Amino acid sequence: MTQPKSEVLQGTLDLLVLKTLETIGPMHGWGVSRRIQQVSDNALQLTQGTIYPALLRLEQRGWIAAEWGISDQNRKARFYSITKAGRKQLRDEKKSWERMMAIINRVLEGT
Amino acid sequence: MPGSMRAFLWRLLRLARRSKSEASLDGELEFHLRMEIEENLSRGMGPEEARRHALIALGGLDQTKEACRETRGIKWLDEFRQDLSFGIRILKKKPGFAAMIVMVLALGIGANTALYSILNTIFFKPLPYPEAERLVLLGEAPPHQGQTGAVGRSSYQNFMDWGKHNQAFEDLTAYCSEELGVAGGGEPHRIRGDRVSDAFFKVFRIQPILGRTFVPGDFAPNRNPVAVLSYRYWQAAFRGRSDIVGQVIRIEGQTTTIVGVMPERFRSLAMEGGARFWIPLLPAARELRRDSNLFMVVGRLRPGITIERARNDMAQIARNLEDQYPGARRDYPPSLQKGWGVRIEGLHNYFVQKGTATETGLLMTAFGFLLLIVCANVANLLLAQGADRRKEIGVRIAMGAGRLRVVRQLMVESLLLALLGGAGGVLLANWMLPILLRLRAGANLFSEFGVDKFEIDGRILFFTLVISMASSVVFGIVPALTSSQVDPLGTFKSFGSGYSTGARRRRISNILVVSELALSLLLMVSGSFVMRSLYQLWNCNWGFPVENRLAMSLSLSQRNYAEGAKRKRFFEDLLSQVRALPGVRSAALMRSLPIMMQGAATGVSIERNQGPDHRGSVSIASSNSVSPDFWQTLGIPLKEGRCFTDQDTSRDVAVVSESMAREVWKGQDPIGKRIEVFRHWYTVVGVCGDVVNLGFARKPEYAVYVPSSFTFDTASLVLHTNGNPLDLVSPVREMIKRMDPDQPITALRSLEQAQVELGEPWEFLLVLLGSIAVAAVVVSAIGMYGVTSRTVAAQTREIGIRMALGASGGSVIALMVKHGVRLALFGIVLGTVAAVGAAEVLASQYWWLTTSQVPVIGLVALLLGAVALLACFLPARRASRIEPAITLRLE
Repeated sequence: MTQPKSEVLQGTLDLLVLKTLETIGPMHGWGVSRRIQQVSDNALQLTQGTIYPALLRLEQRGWIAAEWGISDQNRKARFYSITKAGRKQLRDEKKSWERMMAIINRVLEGT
Repeated sequence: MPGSMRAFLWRLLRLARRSKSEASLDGELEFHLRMEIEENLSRGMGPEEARRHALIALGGLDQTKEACRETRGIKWLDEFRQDLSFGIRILKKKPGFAAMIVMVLALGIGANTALYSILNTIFFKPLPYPEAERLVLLGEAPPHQGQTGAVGRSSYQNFMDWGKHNQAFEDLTAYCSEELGVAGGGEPHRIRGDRVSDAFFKVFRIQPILGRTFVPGDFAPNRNPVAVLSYRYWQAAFRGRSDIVGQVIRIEGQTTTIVGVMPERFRSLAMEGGARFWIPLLPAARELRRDSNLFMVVGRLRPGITIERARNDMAQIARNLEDQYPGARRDYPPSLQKGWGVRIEGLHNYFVQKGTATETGLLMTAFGFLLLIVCANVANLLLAQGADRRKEIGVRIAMGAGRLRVVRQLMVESLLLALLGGAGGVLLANWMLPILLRLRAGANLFSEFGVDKFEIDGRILFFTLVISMASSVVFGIVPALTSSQVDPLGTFKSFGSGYSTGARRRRISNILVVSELALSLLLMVSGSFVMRSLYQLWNCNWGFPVENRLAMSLSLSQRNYAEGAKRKRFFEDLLSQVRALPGVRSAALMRSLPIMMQGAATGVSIERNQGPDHRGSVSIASSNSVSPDFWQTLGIPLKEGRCFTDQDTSRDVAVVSESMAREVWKGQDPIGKRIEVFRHWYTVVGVCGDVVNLGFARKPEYAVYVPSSFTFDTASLVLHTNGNPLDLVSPVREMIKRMDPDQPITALRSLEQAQVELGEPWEFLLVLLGSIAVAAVVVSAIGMYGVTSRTVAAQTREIGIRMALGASGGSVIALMVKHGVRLALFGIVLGTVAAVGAAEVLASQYWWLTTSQVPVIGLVALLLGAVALLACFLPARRASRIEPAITLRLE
């Protein structure tokens, strides 16, 4: 079955990146974008390039940290990992996302 | 924030961080592409296709990069805007505090802005001529002078030959300034005019606003005399009448047609005092000697020729000319006959360096110190404020703000304060500058430089912006670093107590106060040191009294008094008639008034053995030819031997000054010794007291006086009067008018007036230094006050407890003041050490600075100590009135 592809919702990319980094640990940009595509079964239409401004933004806010390291294929790559502040942010964002979803669901189902 | 400012900051940021982050981004994206391509290859795509698909997936390499760049830049700007609006809110919350800081900053920055705009106007502005950087000053340089020191004058003959042989200059012009008698356009008067060679206006490239400049025909022997007027002279003497071209005036008795008027910006070079008009230079016979160095020479370099090239070129030409005319300087002392060169200096450079470099340095240092004191003070205030904001900062750090972020926030606040201070400074400077210009001292000094107003232009605003921003770093960084060092937990624990502000913070604050006081003391001592020395200089020690003396200068026109006998008769008449005026005790004629003898120094050979040609060492002395009554009239004491008598006018006798007699003949009797001045031998018959000969701010130098034969071109007449010398002004004028109605009188004034006039440029320096010193004291008093207030505020509870336990108000005051006094003492000691050092440096620059400054330093230290004590006492007294019950309840 093929799911319909959807655009990444504005503002949720940060959440996805943070969650991914929390799950798989330090990872480079390519790995993160690959991972998001895989997990969503290619349902999310993610131009891989959009991941880099997002990573930069998260880094500037201090939610993720970056350093140069060596990839599996022995190449120099920039690895990102989630910081303490990032985990807190992820929890907050996740909570507010869930609250939002619940509200929207309630509205849609007309309880 | 205006758009341009925002763009500027953004660009600045990108410049600073671009290369590093760009390289990092490139590497990262390259890695991404490789991974993607490899994956595509493993799916069986061809290399080209694999790459194409990878790029599509990425969404374009450059698009991605640009997206990242945008994220980077805008984030920073957003935060900056956040910081800014937060900073504004903070400042608005404490308007009094902010206003105090802004005012103190405005004082420091405004003073520096004003100084810079003065210096800018006088020195840094390019000269008002097209392509002025190509204009240079040339002068013949005696052997071994090289390319340093003053640019001397040159002989007309050599100037003409330079013009013929050089490859470096488009044009060269020679000129010399003279006071010339002018009739027409008001009373007959003597004013400064330049005689200029034909290329003069071409070299400066300035066109007249009316009429024409000179044409070759104006320099022909059978020419009609013509003159070009300066704008100012045209306005002043002829009320700017538009039909001035073609009008006739008399210059030195010669009927002269005015052919043109120059624009206002065309002023003669500052060192010549500014000519009012220009006339063609037709050298007289005596000016055509190859060893008569009489003319200033200005040249315009050809495009692309460096000053070095020109120097080499001219050095060669000078050597060739010396070979060509080997005997040209045979009348000079042997050591000066050969090896002359040409000194060349950029016109603007020369004016910037000339004479004023030390004073400029002195002022800039003093003003810089003031700004430093201000910064120390503001840093202290901010430090205190940081203590009050500990809780706020603690909360922000607890909420996840990084320390860097907090520092940046505090720095943005500092920047905001500094910019406001800078704006206030510009307003202050704008208000101060016209006042400075109106000061009599300032006005005279500046008119000499041709300055009649100061403009605050873009360059000055930029300067103010730069020093404001620099100050914000200087005063902001320490408080920001200290205040951001907050342990959030500790902050909450001590919520509400307001106890100690932390040893580190207090130590820094103490250091700041001490350095403020030390710097203030340094400024005050240096300032008062200069003032005291000037005061002494003004009030004595010219070597003769100035009371009851009237002086004037008379220049006889070369046309009416061509023969020496005629001049002799005029001056002899003058003396006998003026002596007959009621109220005149005695009168004397001299070539120049002692204090005005700038440039009259000459070489004096001292005869070592008896014999016709045994010149010994050569000394430099000022020489003056004087009438017999000179010593009696001026009141210069005779120490040994005799003065001149009426019979000495044709004898070869001389009187020398005391210091010269002492140092040249070292204990031998100077009377009867022989000296050579101007290739003429004289026998010393007397020794008189030392006088300050070469003008203000120069050491008294050796002086040689020889009898006058009364054939002066120009002479000074001095009268010793019974009463107020100014009462004799009109009788003397009347009398001279009767002798010769066309004879102008210049520099008619009492010696007291002359003394004041000579001090004027220094008076200006003094006013500036004085106000700086006062400002420094005020600012550091505020600093002291602030520190003690804080100590008191921090220890309110402790004081309350002490008083509850029975401490008296007096003991509380003593306790609070003790800290401040310790700081003050420390600062004063430190400042004293620095001031002694500074005084040494100053004394080495200016001979007239008195070297004993113990009283000055003591006095200043006492004064500063008293101010500091008062600044401590006021808040301490407040502490002593604390109600114990209230302070304990403050918990």
